[in-house]
Amino acid sequence: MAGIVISGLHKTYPNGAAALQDFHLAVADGEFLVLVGPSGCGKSTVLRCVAGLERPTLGTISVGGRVVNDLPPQERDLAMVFQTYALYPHMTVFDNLAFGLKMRRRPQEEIGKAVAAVAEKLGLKAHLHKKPRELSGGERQRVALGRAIVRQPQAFLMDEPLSNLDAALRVKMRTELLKLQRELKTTVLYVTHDQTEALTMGDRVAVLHSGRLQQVAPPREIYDHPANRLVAGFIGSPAMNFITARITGKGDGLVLHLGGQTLPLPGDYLERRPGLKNYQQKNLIAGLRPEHFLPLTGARRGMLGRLKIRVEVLETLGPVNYAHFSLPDPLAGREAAAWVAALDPTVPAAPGQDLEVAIEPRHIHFFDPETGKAL
Amino acid sequence: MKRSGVSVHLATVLFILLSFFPFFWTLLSSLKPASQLFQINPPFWPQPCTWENYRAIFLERRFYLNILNSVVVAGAATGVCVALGSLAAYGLARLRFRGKSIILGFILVVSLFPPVAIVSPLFLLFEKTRLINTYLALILPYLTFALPLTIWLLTVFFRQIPWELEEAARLDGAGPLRAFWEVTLPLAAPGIFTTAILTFIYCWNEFLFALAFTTNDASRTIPVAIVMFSGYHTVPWGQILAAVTVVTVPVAALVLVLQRRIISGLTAGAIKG
Ligand SMILES: Nc1ncnc2c1ncn2[C@@H]1O[C@H](COP(=O)(O)OP(=O)(O)OP(=O)(O)O)[C@@H](O)[C@H]1O
Ligand SMILES: [Mg+2]
Repeated sequence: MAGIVISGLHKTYPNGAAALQDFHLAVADGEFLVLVGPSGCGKSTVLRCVAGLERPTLGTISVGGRVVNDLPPQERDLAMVFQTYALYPHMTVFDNLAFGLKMRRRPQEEIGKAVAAVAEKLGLKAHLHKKPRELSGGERQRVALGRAIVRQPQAFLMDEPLSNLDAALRVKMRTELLKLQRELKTTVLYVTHDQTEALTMGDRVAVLHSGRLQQVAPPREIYDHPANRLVAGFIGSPAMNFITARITGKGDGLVLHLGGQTLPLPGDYLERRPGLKNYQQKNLIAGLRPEHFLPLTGARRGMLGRLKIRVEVLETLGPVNYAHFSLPDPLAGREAAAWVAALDPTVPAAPGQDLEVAIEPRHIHFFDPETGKAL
Repeated sequence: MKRSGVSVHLATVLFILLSFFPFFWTLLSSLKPASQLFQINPPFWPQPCTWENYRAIFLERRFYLNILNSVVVAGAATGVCVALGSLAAYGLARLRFRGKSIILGFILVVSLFPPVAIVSPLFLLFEKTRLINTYLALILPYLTFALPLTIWLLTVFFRQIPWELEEAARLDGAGPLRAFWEVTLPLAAPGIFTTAILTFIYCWNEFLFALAFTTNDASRTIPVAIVMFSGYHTVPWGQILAAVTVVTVPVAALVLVLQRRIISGLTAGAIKG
């Protein structure tokens, strides 16, 4: 087992597409690191460079302290689980699992034992003699996983291994995969475009956007303190609401202008958010997660900022209602920003209804309007 | 529903009988004594059944030499063709390099050359290099005509095989050639068998080059040898029919054996659901 260190990685494809720029990432030994980002941001490119299937334009990649840039894939001792599984269709499950060991010229007896152990662990014992086409999607997925772990490689690379499974199976495999990793204590670099997967599975999460790394941090920190607007907008479902805002006044008269309304801020707000000091009287981007709208209950009434909204569409999901509404955005010079509030089902709401919701000022995120950096 | 099923079966049986009948008649006639061949209203079954024609072609004409020639020439040409063709096609399917489409076009052009146009120059060439009456004089031109088709067909086949399978094999510890051998080649087997059959049959039946580049009975291939059975005054139909029967059987058997390998959908199950 070994850590993976990627430094200064650039990748430009022969057709001129710059897929990765100045990418740095260190996956610690035994860590489960999830690389997440929207489609086409370069996640697979990172994995393929680490695996040796793609040659980096610039930068070094080391596995277990050894620079592997010039090693062909078969000498890097990494295992990859492909999104499409890439099982060998002409071989039985046993041969699929045994292939890696056979290529490494292990004795027949050892191969048999190792395959049996993995098949046992993954519940594939009954399928060893079958061909991949005779398996269900979930079973194929487990064969792909088994093929990776049977070799006990230095690290696993996984490219959206769960994305071809149906929703229920995906949730189940998520926990099974985690359990397996805890058990094997192997380094995993896991790629997904699903932010839920990222937050639930990763020891740390790395957010990639347009070929540039945005933030690497534990899931909670990514969620609570997104480094910039891209991360804030990508992590969380439904996505964070954004609008142009402005802070004016001072002391007890400190207020936040947003959506044509004003919210009072506590007098010590700027002391607690020093990043905002230089942004008084200036436009900035305010962000608020849908789940941070609170019902106006009696006890809290005094402490909270209030926002008047008119519900346009109401989605009722059971445990939560999503109220869609629009806020005028005069500071940005645009008509309106579309917002979503996750409301407790006990809050009476209906389409077309005017509603007052509460906001806690500490839940508001601020971003520089130009750079998008969190303040 | 049921009635149409019956009529389809009936049509199929009729079709098989019709297409099989000429060969069957050839077989029957080859077993008849010469007198019965030219009779008006010949008997359906040979009576008496005689092996005379077969004895004549094998013992008098040494037809087995011609069969051997054909087997060697067609076999060698097919083997080399598939070996070279699959490597070339693999490169063309997988690698990215300049001028790929030009190369593919050039390969196609080669196969469009009319054989008649190059018989004379090739004859002069082979005479100078003393290749006339050797196997090589046939294998080489057969290769030039069979390779382009092989390369084109196999390029298409290799392109259909997901590249990820090979990448998975590389990560599993196989070098590039090993990955090709263990994963890509078995999956391309239907394509390889198809091209092998086509090439073999082409070489087995080829007449023009075989006629031009062989000058004695011992080095002729089957098609030319059969034509040469005829003398100035007589055409030994019985022997010709016997020879045709003898050489059709192995090819038919070959196709029957190999066609079971030509199953499409061999890659099913490789990727996702
Ligand atoms: N072989 C290639 N040649 C040229 N451009 C490529 C190649 N592979 C990927 N790209 C480009 O590089 C960028 C990143 O691709 P990549 O496959 O890494 O995205 P991804 O994050 O894995 O996306 P997805 O979530 O859809 O799998 C894309 O813009 C893509 O078009
Ligand atoms: Mg991808």
